[in-house]
This record gives sequence, C-alpha cells and structure tokens, in this order.
Amino acid sequence: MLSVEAVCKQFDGRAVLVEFDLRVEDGQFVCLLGPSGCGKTTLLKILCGLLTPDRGRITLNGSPGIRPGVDVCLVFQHYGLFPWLSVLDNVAFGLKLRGVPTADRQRRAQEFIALVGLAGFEGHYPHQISGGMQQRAGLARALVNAPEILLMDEPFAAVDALTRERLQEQLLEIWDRDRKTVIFVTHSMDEAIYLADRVVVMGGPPGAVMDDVLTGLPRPRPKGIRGSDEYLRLMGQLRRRLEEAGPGRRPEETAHDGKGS
Amino acid sequence: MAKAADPRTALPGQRSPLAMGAGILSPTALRVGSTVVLVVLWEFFGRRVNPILFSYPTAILRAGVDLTASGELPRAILTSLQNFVAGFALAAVVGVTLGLLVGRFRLLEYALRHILDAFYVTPQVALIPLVILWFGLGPPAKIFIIFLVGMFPIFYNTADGVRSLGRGLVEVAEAYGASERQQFREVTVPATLPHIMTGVRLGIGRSLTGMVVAEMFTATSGLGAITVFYANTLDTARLFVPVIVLTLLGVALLQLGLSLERRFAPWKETERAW
Repeated sequence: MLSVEAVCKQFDGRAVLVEFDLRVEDGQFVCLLGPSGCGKTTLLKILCGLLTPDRGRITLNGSPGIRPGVDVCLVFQHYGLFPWLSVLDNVAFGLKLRGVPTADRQRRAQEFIALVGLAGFEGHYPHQISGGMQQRAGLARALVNAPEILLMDEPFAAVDALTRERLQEQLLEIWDRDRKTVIFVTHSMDEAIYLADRVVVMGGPPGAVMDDVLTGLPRPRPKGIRGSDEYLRLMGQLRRRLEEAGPGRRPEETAHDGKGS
Repeated sequence: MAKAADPRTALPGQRSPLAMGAGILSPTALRVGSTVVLVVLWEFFGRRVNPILFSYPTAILRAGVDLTASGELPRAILTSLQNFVAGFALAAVVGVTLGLLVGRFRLLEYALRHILDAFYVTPQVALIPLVILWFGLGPPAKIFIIFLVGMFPIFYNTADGVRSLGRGLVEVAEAYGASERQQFREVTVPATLPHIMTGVRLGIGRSLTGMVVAEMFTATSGLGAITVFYANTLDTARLFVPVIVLTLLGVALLQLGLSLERRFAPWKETERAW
C-alpha cells in the first residue's frame, strides 16, 4: 500500500500541497482528476523522487525509501523519449542505468516493445514515429522495470482524440495482465471514469481531495460503456465536484493550456 | 498564385511561368551552367589584364600542372593537411572537454569564463609572433595556432549547449533513478552533440584561416607559404594555385562538417521542444 501522509510543498512561498493525505491500495487503478495548478503533477513528482516534500511522510508497504525507476516509474506527458536513442535503447534505459548486461536488457526491452504493439519499430528513432507510438514506447520504458507503482502524468493529453481512446483501451489490456497499482493524472473526466477503479477529485491550490469515488464499472470495460446510465451519472457527479473545486474553470476547457502544476 | 509559383507545390498541368524554367533545368544543371559562365568570363577578361596583377583559368591550370609535376604542390598540401589534422583534433578534444566542464560546473564558469572571453575577443593571429618565439618556425607553431583559433567556437557552442539544455530530459533520467554522473553521461553529453557539431563546423573554417595565416607568417612550408612565395616573385598564376586548392579544401571540409552533423545529430531539426 502507498501512503501519503500530511505532505506539504510550497514554491516561492506559494503553497501547492498542504497537509495532503492519500492512501492507495495495491493493484488499484487510481485517477487524480483536477484543474490545472491544483497540485496533482507536484504530487506525482514527489512520488517519483523528482521533488522532495517540505514536510510529511510517504511510505510504500510501510517503508519510506521509495526508489525511483525501480519501485515507481513515471510516464511523461510529452513522452520524454531521448531523441538520440532508438526505441529499443529508450525502452532499455532504466535497465542500463542499473547495469543490466546489454543482451539481457535488449531481450527484456524487446518483450515490452512487443507488448505495447511496437514490434518492428525497435530500430526507429522517436522523431520517426507518431505521437501515439512514442507514448507507447514511453509506457514500455516504464513497464520494463516492473515497478510496484506506475505513475502517469497526463500521458495521453498530447495525442488526438481517436488515438487517445485506442491508447486507453490498450493501457487497460496491459494493466489487466498483472493489475499493478497505477496512479494516473488527468484533466479529463471521461478518461478518469473509463480507466479508473477510483477517481480522486482534487481542488486547489493548495491541493485538497474534494471527492473520492469508486466507479464500480465492470472490467473489462464493455463496448459502448461510455453511453451507459452509470457512466453518465458518474460524469455528472464529477462535473459538479469539479465546478465546486476549481477556480471557476471546468477541466475540459483547460485541457490544452499547459502542463498542470 | 503565389503558391503555384513555387515549383515544389505547383501541380502538374498547372504550371506558372516561373515554374517552367525549373521544370526543364535541374538545380544541378543551373549550378554547372553558372559556373561555366563565370569561368568563361574570367578567362576572357583575365587575359586582358597585366599577368602580374591578375591571372586567368587556363594559365592557372598550366601553373597547377607544373607545380604538381615538380612535387611542390603535393608536398605543400600534405604538410598543410598534417598540421591541420593535428591542430584541429587537439582543438576538438580541448574545446569539447572544456565546454562540457564549464557548462556543467558553475564554479568553473565563474572562474574561467571571463578569461576565455578575453582570449576569444583578442584577434588570436596577433599572438603568432609570440607563438613563433615559443615554438620556432616549424610545424608545432602552426599546429598551435590552428588549435587556438579552432578551439573557441567548439568550446563556446559546447558550453552554451550544455547550459541551454532544458530540465526536461534530465528530469526523465532522474525519474528513472540516474545518478548525477549518469545524468551527465547519458543525457547531457548526447543532448549537447548537435551544439558540439555546430561548433566543430564553425571551428573548421576558423582553423583553416588560422592555418593559412600561420603558414604565411612563417613562410617555410605549406599552402600559405607558396602563396607568399609566388606573390613575392610576381608569378600571379602560380599564386592562384594554392588559393584554389584552399577553396576546394574548405568546401570539402565544410561538407565533412555538415555530414558529421547529420550523422551524429539527425534529430536536431525535429526535436527542439526539450
């Protein structure tokens, strides 16, 4: 279990997180939903070791030492692939850092490249493949390290709507194999409901949990679920919460205005 | 209308008057054509000028054959190239190393940057007399000058490349558990490669100039030295031979620089967001 207790973080005197608490059960797919600047990206960066909290405690299964790249892996909004590395070397990056021998890491990278449907593109460079393919490579780069928790920071925000839905389906298929914990940050209510077991609605700044909803939708998601009564009811509920939460802006309208906080 | 005038976007059967010429003559044909016209004009008008003041293509070609047959030109090319390669290799190694260090470590930047700036704005050829006092008239003096002038663009481009690097990709490495050292080796250095290659390309041009100036000054050997020798003996046709060789050398080295840039940084054009 991941436990975030009383975490505080401020930038230049501006409080982004104040006494923030969150508990995530093993194997849960959690979406953090909230408007820009509510502190959800800051929380992710703290979880993966890119930022240190000013105060508070973060533990994974009771121990405080979370190892970035091993226990948690982050999938970036703008893919964050290294342009000078092939898809294969990008995916093998984390393994290389930990000194896994070349042949071994290439074999394992290959496996995950096939898993995300990029077999045949191992030798391509990021600028030679589409945005959707780049993000699948980004996903493979995280999964190959077999992290306890997969962190995703608006990973599908930069691709077109159709590609986004395909990527969402693929992500759920892959997740369904071993159901590791996922913490997925998004602006989109639709994306949150479609993907998650549990949607945590955040408001702010400073970041605060406004609502915590177990979606209870069937898995695997049936075709046409987006039109079902339960789905629409959840959409309505989240929309009301977000309107209370945000500084007057609905999240869908701010979906492309920046990188969150 | 403006769109159709561009031969690349003009549709077949919808040719604008401007696109028509380009359809008949390829860019290569136009380049060859303009070169031929230039050479013919040079030959025609060059012959009318006092041969001490100017020369013309056929006379230069004859002089070139003579100088090649006597072995003087091949010897000079070899000497020049040897010095160039040695000096420029040194410039690349020192420039890249220094650039990476100064770009990475603030302390080094504060300690060294203004000194290097002072060296850079000083016309380094002004140091040639001093360099000759140190190293004599032989190859070491020339190698040192080639090194000195070529090193600065490589250093500056490398250091600025490191500093202009966004947090983005370094953050990715950090999130995957890279140590400071690994972040530098796996991200900073490869991400700086395009800047390094730009520095190398600029450095090639400067080093070539430095080489010629040094050879003229020492006047012992190399292409610069024969230029000075034939200028002093008023043999203008022969003077042009090393000059033209230098032009060709410059073009070849520039092409080499561009192909290195494409080889080592093929993503440069498409990936500047990070």
